[in-house]
Amino acid sequence: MTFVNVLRTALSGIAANKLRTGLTMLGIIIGVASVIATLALGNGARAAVENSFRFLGSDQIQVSGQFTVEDGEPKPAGKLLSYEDGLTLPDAAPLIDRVEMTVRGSGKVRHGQTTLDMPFTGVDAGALTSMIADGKVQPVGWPAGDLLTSEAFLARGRFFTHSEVAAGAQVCVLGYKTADDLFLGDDPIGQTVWINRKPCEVIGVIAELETVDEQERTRSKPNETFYLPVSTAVQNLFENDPWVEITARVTDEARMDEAKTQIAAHLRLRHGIEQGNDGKWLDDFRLTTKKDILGVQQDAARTFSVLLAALAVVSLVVGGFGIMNVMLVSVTERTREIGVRMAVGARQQDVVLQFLLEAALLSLAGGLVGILVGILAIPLAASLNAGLALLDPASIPVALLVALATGIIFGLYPALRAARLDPIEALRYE
Amino acid sequence: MNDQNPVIETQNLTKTYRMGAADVLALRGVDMRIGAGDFVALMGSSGSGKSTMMHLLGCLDTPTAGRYLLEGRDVGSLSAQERARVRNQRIGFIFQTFNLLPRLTALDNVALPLLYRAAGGQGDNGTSRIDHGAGSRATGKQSPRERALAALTRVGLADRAGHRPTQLSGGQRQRVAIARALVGDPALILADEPTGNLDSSTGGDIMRLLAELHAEGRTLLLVTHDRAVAEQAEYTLHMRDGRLLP
Repeated sequence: MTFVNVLRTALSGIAANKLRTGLTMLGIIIGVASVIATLALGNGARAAVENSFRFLGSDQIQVSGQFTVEDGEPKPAGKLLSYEDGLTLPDAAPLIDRVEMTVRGSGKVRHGQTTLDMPFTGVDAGALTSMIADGKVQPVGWPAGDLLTSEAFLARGRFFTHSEVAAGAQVCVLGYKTADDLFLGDDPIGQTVWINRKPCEVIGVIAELETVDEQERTRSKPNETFYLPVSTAVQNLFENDPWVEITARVTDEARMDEAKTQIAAHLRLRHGIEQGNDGKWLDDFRLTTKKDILGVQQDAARTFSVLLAALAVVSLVVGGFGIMNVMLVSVTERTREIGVRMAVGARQQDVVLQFLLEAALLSLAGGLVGILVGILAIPLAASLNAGLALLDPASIPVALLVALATGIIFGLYPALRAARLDPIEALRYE
Repeated sequence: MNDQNPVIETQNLTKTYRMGAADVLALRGVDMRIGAGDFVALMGSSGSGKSTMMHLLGCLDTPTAGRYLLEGRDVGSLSAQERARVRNQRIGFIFQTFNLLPRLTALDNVALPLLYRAAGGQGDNGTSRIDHGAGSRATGKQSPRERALAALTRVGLADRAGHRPTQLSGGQRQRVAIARALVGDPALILADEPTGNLDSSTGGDIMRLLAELHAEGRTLLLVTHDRAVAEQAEYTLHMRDGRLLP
C-alpha cells in the first residue's frame, strides 16, 4: 500500500470522529504549548544577556571591584581596582594579551570664559568599537538595522591612537553638546581646552548621540561629556588613585577558566588577599565572563522552565493516553473493517502502519494547534519572568517532533492490537 | 472437471480448535479437488465444517494437519504475511454481509485489494497465472482506479462508482463486493452465502452474475446451505461432521 493511500485512509479515520478527536488532542495541545513556552523562556533570558552585555566578547573577562553598601553609600570591599593593576596584568597573566581600561569621573572643562562641570570617561583607543558593540547609543537619526562604524560616531576629527593612550597624551575628544557649548559653532579641532586647569588639545568631536532605548532618552545625556585617554585621566584628574574597570582579552577562548585563575593570582598578590578560615579567598574583585552572566540569567529562567517542563511532560503523557484510548476505541469500532482489509490482503504491517499513522496525524494536528497556543502564550510567560521570553524558532520543529513521538509511542499498542486480530474473528465481529 | 490442473487440491485436511479444555475436531481429513473453471457449491448444515473449510481454502487460517495446494503450491504452511499475499493476489472473497468499508466509495472499495498489492509487488507470486478468457484484460499498465472502474463496469455499476455503500441497495452492494473480488484477477473466488441477505429476486440476479463469471472461465466455490442456490452451480459437494461426503 502506498504512503499516500495509507495517509488518506488514516485521515478519513480521523475525520469520522471530529469531536472525540478534538478532545483527545487537548492534552497534546497543552503539552506542546508548554514546550514552546519553556523554550521561549530560556531563549528570552539568553537574548536579554546578549543585549545587555553585548560589549563583553566571549573571549573577554571583565574585572571589576567588589563593593559593599554602608549607609546607602557604596564602599570598596577591599583595595580599589587600580590603573596599575590593569597595566601589569598582561605581563603577569600569560593568557591575557591585552587589557582595556575605563575610568569614570567628573571634572571641569574650560574654554575662554565658559567653564562646564560634567562627567567624563577615560578610555582606551578601542572605546568607539566597544560603544558600537554595546549598542546602547547611536548617532541621532541612524537608520535602524544599518551597520554602525567608528566613523559614524565622529562628527569631527579623530579618536585616540594606541600611542596616545600609552603615552598619556594631553588630548581629548568632546561630546557633541559640550563642543557646541564651549566653542559656539567654531571649529574646536586643534584648539586647547583646560580640564581641571591642565591644557588639553581637542582632536575630535563625537557625533550627536541618542540612546537606542527611547524610554532612556529623557534621562541620559550622552552628548554632555568628554573623553580622555585613560592614562591621561588617571594622571591628571584624580587626587587619589581612581578605581577602574578592566576588560581583559584572553588569547585562547577555550582556556577562559585558566585565564581567570591567572588574573585572580595576580590581583591577590597585588592586593595582599588572604584565605579565610574556610580556605576561600577573601577577594575584593570580581571576574565575569559572558558565560557567567548567561548562567545567572538562565538560573532565574530555569525555575520557571522546570515548572513548565513538568506541565509539558504531564500534559503529553495525559494526551498520549488520550490518544491511546481513542485509538483503542477506534480499533474496536473498526474490527470488521480490519477483518475486511486483512481478507483482501492487508498484511500485519499494513494494519500497524495505518493505525500508527492515524495516531501520528492526530498528535501532529494537536502539535500544530499547540504551537499556535504556545506562541500566543509567550507574552503571558514573559509577564511571569521579568519580561524575558522570546520565541525560539528551533522550538517549533522540536515541538512537532515531541508531538509526533507522543503519537507514535502511545499509538503503538492500539496499532499492534489491531494487527494481531484474527481475520476470521474480525470478520464475524458485530 | 479439469483434473490436469486443479486450482484446489487438499489432502487429509484436518483442523482442531481448542475450546476451553476440550479439543473440537472441525475437519477430519478432507480430500478435495476443484479444477480450473469449475463452479462448485459446498453444502452442509451448521457445524458440518464448511465454514472452517472455507476459511482454510481462503488462506484465512492454517490447517492442523494435511496439505492444501492452491494452483499446485502448498499454501497450508505459509506465514501470516505470505498468506496475506496469497489472499491478495489469488483469492477473491464474497461475503453474505457484503463487508464493504462504509467510508469508502464503491470505486475505492473495489480498488482496495490493489492498494495492498502496490507495495508488495505484483509479478512475484511464483504460481503460473491461468488465462481466464474474458478475464485476461490488459492489467499491466492500468492504474488501480482504472482497473477498479473496469471491474465495476463488469458488474454493471460504473455509474455508481462515486456512491458510498449506504447510498446503494443490497443487490448493488453485493455487486460492488463481487467487483472487489474480481479486480485482482484471482485464481479462486470464494462466495459465502452471497444471497443470504438478499430478497429472492435480487439473489437471483446475483446468482446470474456468478454464473456469467463462471462462463467467462473463472473458478468459483459457493458455500451455502440453500439447496436452490447450490443447484445453480455445476456440481455440489456435501459436508457432514467435518468430512466430505462421497
